[in-house]
Amino acid sequence: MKLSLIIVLIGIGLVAADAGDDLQIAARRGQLAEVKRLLEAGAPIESKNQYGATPLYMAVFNGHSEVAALLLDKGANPNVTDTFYKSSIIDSALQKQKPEFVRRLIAKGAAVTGRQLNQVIAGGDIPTLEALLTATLKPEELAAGLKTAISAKKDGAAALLRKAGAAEPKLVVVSAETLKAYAGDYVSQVVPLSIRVSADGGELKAQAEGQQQFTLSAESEREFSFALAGIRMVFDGNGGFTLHQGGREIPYKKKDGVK
Amino acid sequence: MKWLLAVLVTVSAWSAESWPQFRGVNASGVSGSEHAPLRWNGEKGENVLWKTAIPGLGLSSPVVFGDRIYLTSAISADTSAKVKHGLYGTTESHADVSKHQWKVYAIDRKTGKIAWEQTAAEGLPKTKRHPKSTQANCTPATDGQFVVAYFGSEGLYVYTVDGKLQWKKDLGIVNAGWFFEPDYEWGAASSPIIHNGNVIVQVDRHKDSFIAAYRLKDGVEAWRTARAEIPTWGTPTIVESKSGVELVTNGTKAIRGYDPKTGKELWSVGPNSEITVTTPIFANDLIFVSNSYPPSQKTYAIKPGSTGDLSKETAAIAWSKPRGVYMPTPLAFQDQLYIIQNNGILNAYAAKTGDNVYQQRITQGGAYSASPIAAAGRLYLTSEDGDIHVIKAGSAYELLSTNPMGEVLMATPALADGVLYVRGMQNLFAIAEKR
Repeated sequence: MKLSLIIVLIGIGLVAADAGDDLQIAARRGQLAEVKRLLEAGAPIESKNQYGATPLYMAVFNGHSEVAALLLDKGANPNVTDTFYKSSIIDSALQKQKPEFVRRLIAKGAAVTGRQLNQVIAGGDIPTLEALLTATLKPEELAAGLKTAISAKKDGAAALLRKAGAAEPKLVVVSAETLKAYAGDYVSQVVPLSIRVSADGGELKAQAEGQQQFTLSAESEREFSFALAGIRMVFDGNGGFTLHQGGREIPYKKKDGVK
Repeated sequence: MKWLLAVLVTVSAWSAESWPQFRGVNASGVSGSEHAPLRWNGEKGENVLWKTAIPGLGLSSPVVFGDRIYLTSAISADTSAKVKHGLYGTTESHADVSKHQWKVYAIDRKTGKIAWEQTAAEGLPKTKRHPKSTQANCTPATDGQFVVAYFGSEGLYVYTVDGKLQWKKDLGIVNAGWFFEPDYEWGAASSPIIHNGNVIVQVDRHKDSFIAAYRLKDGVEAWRTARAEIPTWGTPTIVESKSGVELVTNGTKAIRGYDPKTGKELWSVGPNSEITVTTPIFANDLIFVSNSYPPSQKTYAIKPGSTGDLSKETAAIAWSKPRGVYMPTPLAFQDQLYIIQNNGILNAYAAKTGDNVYQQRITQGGAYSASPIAAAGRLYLTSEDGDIHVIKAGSAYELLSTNPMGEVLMATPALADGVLYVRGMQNLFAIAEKR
């Protein structure tokens, strides 16, 4: 290839990179006119910053609805997840609590996960939940969401989920004697955070040191979950349990060594 | 002659111990005082030698040399602007961009009276701050002849100890803030240090980061080394070991060692945390650096005198732990390394080996952003809620006392000649027990 052509191609690449950076900046600052100008000048709509975030990602992240709407209309991909926090565009829209924008993203093809559904159920934001339910969700995700809503006593959310076709969850009943055996103060050699487990009114509750108590749902005699925080606790029947959260497995043992 | 001798004795008594930069000599956090206060009450004035109101907001620590204490602050025209303390997470900047004055104070060590004050800069802040931050986070440095004050985007200032401006330097916009969104500005906090007649500053920002040395007497650049770094908040540390003298910095891409004479990079260890706040320290023939933000949240014990990329060179790393600390710089004291987490959990390790010694929550709840210091066999742990806990140094946790100060505490205290100097959100205190 001729040197002059190589130089031109490299130059085009550099200009595109600059235009992509400019679009990133304009989008995250909500500068609508500048975003329009840059798009018309050919700035790459899917340019990514060093953490994989696109202009649409940053516009939604910073709550700039008009810029985000423009980018969506111009075909920006609504299914982008950053490489650092592993957070998606829908995650940002949910945090901003903008149900109409959630609907718009879903209408343009944004995917929704069971985790996000549980998050919205926990927050009790009915308009956003209604928007979220316009997405295609798997039956098991809907069922898990209904279980979460029932556990958390979110009746409005439960009604919406049933209307969306969520199957009624099977209730697992664990004996009071078993629950009492699980109760105690637990410590881990891996993380400096103790957890107190208590049995109360036929339910198992957990409270990490310095944090709020939460109620666990029984999945089986030994497995309990708290879907809102993505927590699973699997008791070993020997004075310990393994905490599963965020891909990590952390073993805990009863503080006094009593089974 | 008698009169002259009396003056010399008085001066030398005062100059027995200094605390000349962030966390004392080479950021060790350790005072050589044989005596240090155990019980006091800042609210009631018990064992408080003096208390002086400091205008404005600042998280910089006091530094001590001779008969003076030096401190910085930033006074906003918006008097309602506050620092929001506590355990919480936010990435957004504080809204206060009103006119500020950036101040340098010299305070009489004996009486607490303000000996002189200078307004280093005045105007609208060039960069914003985090709600938990201020416009005066960087601790000054002094060698007893000059006082160095650094205010990030507002510049670097060197005064004589009598308060005369010697020189100043604009280092450009230092928009230290969130790596993920550069418009979320949090404020600079890396403090200047003085070494061999130079002032050294670590300027890490989104683009064009560098570390530089300027001649203390006239500001002439001695050297400047570009750093491939994003914003960081730790202070550079001079390490003097049998292998020579190194300048060590914490950083996102890497922890690095430099030659302080030339600025040449000697070694690096990375990748590191995306947000680095703590300052490296040297003790027990090891360089300790600790971080606690993804992706790498390690505590390292690095052997001095290394060269090259140590990232895969395990021989240069004496030991490491998978978990470190986010904000308070660790403390090495009497063969143990102490790490106080932001949430008040204290971990003690054997300094040479990293073996666990103990782990203890100091109190229920509470937030800790000040770094621990030590003297006379005791550790001083400063809680944001206004208490300073005194812990006995050793292989078993023992709380000796809890001392209320009556105001929010976020700056790391200083300790020299048995007197504890505590900067609260409103006042500077001098604390000592009668002997």
